[in-house]
Amino acid sequence: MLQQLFAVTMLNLRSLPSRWDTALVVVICLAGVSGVMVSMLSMADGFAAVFDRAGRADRVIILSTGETYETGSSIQRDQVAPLLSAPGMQRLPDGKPTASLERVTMSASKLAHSTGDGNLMMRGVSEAVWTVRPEAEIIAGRRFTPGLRELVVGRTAQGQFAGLDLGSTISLSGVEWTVVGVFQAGGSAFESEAWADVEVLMNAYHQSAYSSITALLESPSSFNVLKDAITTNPELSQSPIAEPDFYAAQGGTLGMAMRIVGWLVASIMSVGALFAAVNALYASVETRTVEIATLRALGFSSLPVVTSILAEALVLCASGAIIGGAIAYLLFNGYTLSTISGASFTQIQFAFLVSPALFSKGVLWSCGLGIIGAMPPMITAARLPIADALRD
Amino acid sequence: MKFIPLIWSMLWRRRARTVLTAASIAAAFMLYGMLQAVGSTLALGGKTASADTLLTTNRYGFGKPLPYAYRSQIEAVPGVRNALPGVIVPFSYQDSRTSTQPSVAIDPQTFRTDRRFVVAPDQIKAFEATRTGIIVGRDLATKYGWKIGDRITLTTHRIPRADGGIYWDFDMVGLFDYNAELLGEGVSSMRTFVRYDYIDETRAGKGSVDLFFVHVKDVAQVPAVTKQIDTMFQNSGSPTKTQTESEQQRSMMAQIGDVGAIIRAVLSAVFFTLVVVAGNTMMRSFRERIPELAVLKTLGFTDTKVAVLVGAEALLLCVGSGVLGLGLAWLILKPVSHAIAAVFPVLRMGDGVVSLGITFAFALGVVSAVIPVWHSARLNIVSGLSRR
Repeated sequence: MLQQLFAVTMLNLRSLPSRWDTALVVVICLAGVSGVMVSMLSMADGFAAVFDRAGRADRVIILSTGETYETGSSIQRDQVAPLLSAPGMQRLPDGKPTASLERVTMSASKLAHSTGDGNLMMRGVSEAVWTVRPEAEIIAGRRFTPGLRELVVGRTAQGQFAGLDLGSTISLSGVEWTVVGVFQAGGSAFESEAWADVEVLMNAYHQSAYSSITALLESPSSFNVLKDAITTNPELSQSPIAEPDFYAAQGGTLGMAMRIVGWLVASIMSVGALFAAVNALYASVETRTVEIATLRALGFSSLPVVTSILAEALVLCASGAIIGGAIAYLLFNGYTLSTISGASFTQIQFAFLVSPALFSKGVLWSCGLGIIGAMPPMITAARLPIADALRD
Repeated sequence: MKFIPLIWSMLWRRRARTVLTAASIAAAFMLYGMLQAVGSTLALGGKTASADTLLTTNRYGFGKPLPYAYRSQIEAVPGVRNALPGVIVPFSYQDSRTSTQPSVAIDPQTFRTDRRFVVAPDQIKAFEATRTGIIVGRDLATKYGWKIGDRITLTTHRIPRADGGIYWDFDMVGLFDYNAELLGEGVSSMRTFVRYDYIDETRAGKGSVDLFFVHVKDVAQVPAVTKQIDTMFQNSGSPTKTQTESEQQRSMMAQIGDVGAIIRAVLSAVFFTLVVVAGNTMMRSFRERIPELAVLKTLGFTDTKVAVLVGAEALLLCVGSGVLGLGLAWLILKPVSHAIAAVFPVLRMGDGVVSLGITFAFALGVVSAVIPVWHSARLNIVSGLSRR
């Protein structure tokens, strides 16, 4: 029986070249579906990755209760001391918590590759930031000197905005800054920002309150200790959010929208391709009518015949998906796009990410379509009236 | 004309194949219609904005405050009819996490000046007389079941009240619709308008606005007025940036990323696939019918006539399915547009999308018919008949 299955399947696959035109239709359709699907989802994945990369379970962001963005949050100067003395935070040998006081502000700035302005996210940070976010590393120049109007700029920000070259002076929201360094932060959204000393930044823009505090925890499990201490203190109106949750919310809406659009487009294309594939597979069975009837007349049961049709569909769909995925990889992997994100409309740059997982998702999806598409022709072939078919 | 029944029955010679091909073409055109709707929504900026309205915002970024005191200075500029303050308030109703709906705090005069909104005159009067008044978009009122006379409580964390609270009470005094003559049908009214003076006196920080709506007496004066306003505040603590609404929306869209390029890339993949699918169907259908076409020629049909018949069949299939797909897209877009009205006020296929779609369908028919038409014109009766 197994031998029969194998023999008929191989017979069918070997005769594929003689039906190259219908085979090609299936391959091209599925290449289109999986190519578009992989590209669209790689965009969503790449965008999500920018936010995923910044999150660490043992790091928290303290914001005004109910706020999900730093731009809407505020921490008054007199609230800083009780916040920093809360239990659960990692402490340096001198007893000070590893925490960075931060203030974010947006600055309209000339974009490098377009005539318009984009919003550059400026972040005032404490000196401790380099300990709190060890993934942030200077790759050119040096760190800013506390007390001076100096900026370090993320490497993608440098590419996105004009005038952020090392050593240059730039006027941002009416204040002159000198760019002294360029940093990278593991591909996270921080790389689209410019950092300065928080006190200098607040002074320069006449701001009195911090936006947030980012701190390291003793361990991920001390989060609840910290949360209880802060939320039960009546002087405070803030609460901590674990970083992964914070970034999930940041990239959430837009990332989700990209994913939904990606699947929607892929599904509609899939429906179209499915009809085309059924059509082509029918044609393929039609061409083989005499062959199939002969096999049946020789005593082969309908199972090997049906299996051979399924195998043909799977081979064609999988090869289409591989071609489509490969085209998506060649065209889009690493392709960068910048967009505005969140309530603050800051520029975020991200790269399309065609991962092996996504690639195999495309192949699996196509094989699924192949199985569904092979059903109607399989049924037709199984019910083929042998005598009529042979007379034809 | 008399050949239409013939073309029709040629098309239905193989029912299953025609239906399947038509369905795949229709799916492609449905996708085309929906993607183009997204594209034209994003490009719509220039159309929903009126040419005589300028927006004055903070040069350092949208959302940064400007002093209210600028109002009288802007209104003193020659050519300016008025400068009305606006503050964007992201209010939520009930579940604060999901149902954020934008509200704009404005001067009640806005409804007398701005032709994009249609509000009954007695409701404008009621808004002018009620400090806590709120004018609600008709679609939003339907969604929440609000009626004129209702007291509506909204919350926001973004603008703290002077008393520290987050709840704001409003009295619903009217409904607004978008002006369909100006903006076209189908723009969902999913926002609310409240009074700037009420918000400003109740909130913690006072005296600032997010933007001014500057109405100019004559469109020709727009460039001069723009320049004069920005020059006036150039060296102040809050320099301004004045743009027409369409410029403002265009620069916003440019920052979202080149959505148009992504849509074009997807559609090229779709249409390339489609040419292969349709071309293959036509070719197969032609090959099967060689003897029949030979019979037609025997009966006295000229080469041209047979070729035209074959071509017409391809055109009928492609254009018919294309129109079907565009119709499906139109049907689907209606409810979808309603569901996402809070984010996108309009989601519809703009002018030209449908006609361009039909052009594409026509081109598809032509391309897929080229080879069969050529072959059928050259078909030799004897060899055609002997294929049987």
